[in-house]
Amino acid sequence: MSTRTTLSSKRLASSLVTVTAHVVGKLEEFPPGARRSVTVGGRAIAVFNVYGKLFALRDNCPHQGASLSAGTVTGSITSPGPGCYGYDRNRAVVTCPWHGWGFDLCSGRSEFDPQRTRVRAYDVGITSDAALLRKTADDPGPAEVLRIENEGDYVVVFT
Amino acid sequence: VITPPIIDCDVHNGLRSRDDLKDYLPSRWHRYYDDSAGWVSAAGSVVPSAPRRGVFRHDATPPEGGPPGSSLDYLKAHLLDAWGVERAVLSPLESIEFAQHGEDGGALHTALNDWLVDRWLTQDERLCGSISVPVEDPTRAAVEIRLRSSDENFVQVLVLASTRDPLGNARYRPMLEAAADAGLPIAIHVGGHGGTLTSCGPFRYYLERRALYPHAFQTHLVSMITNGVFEALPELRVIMMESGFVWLPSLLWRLDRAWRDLGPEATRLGRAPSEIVRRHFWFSTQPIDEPAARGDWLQTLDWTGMHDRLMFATDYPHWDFDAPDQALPVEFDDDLRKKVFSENAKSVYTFSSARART
Repeated sequence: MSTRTTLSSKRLASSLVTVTAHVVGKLEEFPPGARRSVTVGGRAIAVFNVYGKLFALRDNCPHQGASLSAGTVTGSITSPGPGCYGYDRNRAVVTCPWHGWGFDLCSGRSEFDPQRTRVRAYDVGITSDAALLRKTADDPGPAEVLRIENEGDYVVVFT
Repeated sequence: VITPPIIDCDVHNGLRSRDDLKDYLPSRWHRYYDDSAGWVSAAGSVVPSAPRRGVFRHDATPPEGGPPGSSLDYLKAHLLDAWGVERAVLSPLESIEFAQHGEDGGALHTALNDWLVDRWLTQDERLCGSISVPVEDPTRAAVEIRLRSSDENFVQVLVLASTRDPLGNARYRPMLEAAADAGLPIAIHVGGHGGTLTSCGPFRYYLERRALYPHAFQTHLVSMITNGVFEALPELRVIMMESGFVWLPSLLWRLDRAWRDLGPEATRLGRAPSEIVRRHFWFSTQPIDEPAARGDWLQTLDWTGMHDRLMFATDYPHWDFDAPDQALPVEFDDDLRKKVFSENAKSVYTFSSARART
């Protein structure tokens, strides 16, 4: 399940029209199993690496604001009918550390009320595109400036 | 940090390790204490199911290890400093695992109260505490209350709600009397050893327990009122802790009607039950009720008329913690804010401003 999103310059260029790309750190700072809170444009965003796949959610539970990055990541319990239970490890769910609300890491939709109760999910990817790195390093506010030392893989969150 | 500074009336600290109690427990009980580990709890458990991975918030484990609530330094940083808590009332729940009768029960509760004073209440002026007592041995509980009554570190007597009998039962009277004499409120709090919690028998899921806990509190409230507790002990005050309060209007409407219709049966009851509740009872907010139409929460509070009796609580570090700046289902005006976050607690607790510090 080590799907790895590598972003082309073209996709990035088109994304930049509607979204802002934020480099949030080196890929090795987000190893598999990592759950980290990063600040992007004043917002706390939780970045998760689940078996090599990256996810990003707003790092505030919509209920009482707890940090989802302090939550527990698991697969999803499924039940096709009474008395039948399954465990879907291909879906990743984070459970809030306080009251246990579960959110799909991909969509941000809650387990108990997916239509109406959700947390903002962000696109997240990996890039080593030097143009993008220069752009994002120079572009946003001072708090977000990331010094780019070398070529390498970086994690990018799109807002 | 929010304003006004808050009084958090329900905070749970606990032993870092079970052995820590031995520093305060006479050595003649040590062997018994070791041998009984887990036994009382298993025998007395009424919970067939539990919340997700235990009762604690998943982000409250102290950095130095130990269970959530076991580190004074971390509790100060993670709760008191983080939220601007002016006073926190500590209620360790070890009593759930202690014998409730006899010399052993008495010794364990005395040791726990000594530990609480020594390791917590004298270590930070924001902390005050609950007296833990062996509820099912009310005479011994009364002795413990009288022993602590001159210690201003304690502001209430903790009574866990799952008792063997409703608290209006005459056998609990010595305990209630000692609290009234000491000027200390009784705080009835979720937990305990005895009853079935529902009016019909055991349940299967923790979810049911959580939803139905008001049954236990309603039973105690009705029992104490109809058995004349407040006629006998006019100074006694009761705090319903973790009970919810939104059920109060319907219960009081029904109870007042029952009193009008059936009053002669309970001859000691000279006043309308709702009048007694408004005079003798306080309620904590947590776990706060969340009506679908949020404004209904204030409507319900208006129906109760208990604006002066509702007190904010976080229940830190338990999983159903309410965050002071996030939990309220509706905006409060300044007056209600002051009452719920601070003034109502000051009306029921006697906080010492000049407590002796070691």
